[in-house]
Amino acid sequence: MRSREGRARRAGPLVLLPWLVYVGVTVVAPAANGAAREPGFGEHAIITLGVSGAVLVLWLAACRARRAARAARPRRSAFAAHVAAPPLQEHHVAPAAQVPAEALAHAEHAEAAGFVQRQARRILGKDPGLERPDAGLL
Amino acid sequence: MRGLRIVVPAGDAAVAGVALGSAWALKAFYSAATFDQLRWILTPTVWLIGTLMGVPFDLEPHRGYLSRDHLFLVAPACAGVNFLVGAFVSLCLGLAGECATARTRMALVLSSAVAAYAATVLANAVRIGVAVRLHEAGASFGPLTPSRLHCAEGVAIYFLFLLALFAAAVRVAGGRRALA
Repeated sequence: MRSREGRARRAGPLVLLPWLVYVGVTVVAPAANGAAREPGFGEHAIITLGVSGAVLVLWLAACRARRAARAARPRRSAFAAHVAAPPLQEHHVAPAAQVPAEALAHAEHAEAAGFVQRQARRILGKDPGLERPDAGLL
Repeated sequence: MRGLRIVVPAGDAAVAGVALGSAWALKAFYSAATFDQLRWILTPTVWLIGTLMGVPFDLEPHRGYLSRDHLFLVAPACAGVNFLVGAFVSLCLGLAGECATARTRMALVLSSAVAAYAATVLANAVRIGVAVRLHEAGASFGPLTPSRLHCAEGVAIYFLFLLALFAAAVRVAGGRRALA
């Protein structure tokens, strides 16, 4: 799925917009209006482009450095920060290569013989050994 | 081969049209404006310089505000209208995609105008305050003569304020595009 953020990244940083507008208002529009023929306009244009370009590069570098620092920081949830107990998830433990869908059922218990059936009547329920639901295809 | 086709929603196009039309009208007004026509932006700026940096200015009728202590005149060219135009257009174009209804688009245009005006007064006050100090110190660095330094300092402060304003507006509006 293509996210909006992904499309935005391809479109370039949004912060370029104010730079383009600033250069358009202070350099391009006056030049188009005939100011380019005036003495001193070239110097003004060079200073405007140079200084605003330098500020823009520094801004982008600061943003990227901040993002990289944030990404490098280990993620800790607000819950984990206050709880000293170890998390339930085990890290760096490789899972078993194969896990059977259902463990083998143990053998049936022997039926109570006739002379002990009276004692066995108080045992409630029965062994559900093989009565689990059938595993389906995932 | 299929050609590139860019589809701009009608609402975004309307906001862009209003922003660019207002910018053009403001630039046309500024190109011939006198000091008295620019007092709506110069007076709060000069008041803020006095408040923040302790530099007092006196009104010179029809000419500007003069600091007699520093021999520094705030003339119509110092009004910062180009910054105002840039901030307004940047906010409108950058945030138009976040608006879904005509009412939010109208709110965007109005709030962009107010934010751009406030940012212009603040940025211009800082710029002129720093320029007064540089002028007082007679600062110059190699090829950066006092006049070039004044220009570079103005561009740096204006553009930094423009980026900060834009970043803050994108954050407030919950922009979905990556800022940088």
